[in-house]
Amino acid sequence: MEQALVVSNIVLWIAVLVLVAVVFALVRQIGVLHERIAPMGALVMDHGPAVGDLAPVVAARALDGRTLQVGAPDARQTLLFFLSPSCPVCKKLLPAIESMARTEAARLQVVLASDGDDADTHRRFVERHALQAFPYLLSQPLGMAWRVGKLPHAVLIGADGRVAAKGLVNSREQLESLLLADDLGVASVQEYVARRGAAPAAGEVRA
Amino acid sequence: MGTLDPLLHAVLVAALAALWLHAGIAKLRDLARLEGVIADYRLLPEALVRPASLALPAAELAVAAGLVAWPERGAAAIASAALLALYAVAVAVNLRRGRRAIDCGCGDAPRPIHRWLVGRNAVLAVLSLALLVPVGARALGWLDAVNAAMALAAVVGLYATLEQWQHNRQAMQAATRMEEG
Repeated sequence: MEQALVVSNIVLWIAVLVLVAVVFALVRQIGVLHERIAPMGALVMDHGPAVGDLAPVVAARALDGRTLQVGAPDARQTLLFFLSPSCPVCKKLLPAIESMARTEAARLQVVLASDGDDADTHRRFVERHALQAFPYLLSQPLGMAWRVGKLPHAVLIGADGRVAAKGLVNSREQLESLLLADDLGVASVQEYVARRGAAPAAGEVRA
Repeated sequence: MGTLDPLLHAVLVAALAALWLHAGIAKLRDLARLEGVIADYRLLPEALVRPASLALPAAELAVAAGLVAWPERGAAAIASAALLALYAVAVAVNLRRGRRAIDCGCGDAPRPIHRWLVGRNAVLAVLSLALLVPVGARALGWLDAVNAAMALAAVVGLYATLEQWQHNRQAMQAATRMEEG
């Protein structure tokens, strides 16, 4: 009798562990599915200057004392990256910003933007992450002009001063999707997907 | 007052130690993120954020080691409950402030804070305090060793499953909110 209980105990344990493994695998699969169906590319919030509009021209003061006319037509495109020293995702994206600034230097200038009164915090942040190469603006009007609600937020302004692409960016892929959206002539990856859905016969997107 | 069976006590110790070991290592692997997370909770003056980002993983690993290695593990059990209560309060305060979009800093993938975390930590704190209950005297045999190992594996697996389930739930809620605008 006792031996029967020992054997059944062990058999039941094995069954429990197999079930736990199966349930975990199923729940994990659901998680992966959620990631797959999540919106791709930079998420465009439905407010602020629209893609295609003229960008608002805002004069903003950089940490080094210069004043920049953000949004004015320029020889190159401008990538305006809104960040904050206390935003972990922003820090994660800094290497992507730097490499993008290097590889696209011919057509793109990168401008970092934040706000807050405590310039010292921002100076330390610039030093710690070696961001001296980029203009670092401290301007609340700039964030308000673009209706930045969540960080990190990126705006691509064309050389003609029009908004080329913008959105909340959480990953390197979403950041690159802004340039890609501009190359493809769509406002966002969401619009790209919507357009393909609306006109399946067209099959291709205007370059 | 009753006693706790030595088998249950052993499983509880091992499971809590595994929890703290995992939490401590995950925090140490991305100290920059942890610093940002602590700053985002907005509970500490800025000067203390960096020391706290080093102290928390150190405390977590110390609790893990204390639970396993210390013959008198009451202190580690109390420290475990205190840390869990601290995190629960930090999350609750920020939920009360309406700051729901901040990263909880728990585990590997960033995830917004949620009242689930408060409840989870409360349960874990109670389990930590259960280690203070005197351990019953019973000779442990080989079958207890099998039971302990299997139970530990099952508890770890179920905990990971529950966490993933909650992660999915939050992802679903976020997607629903986005569709509604």
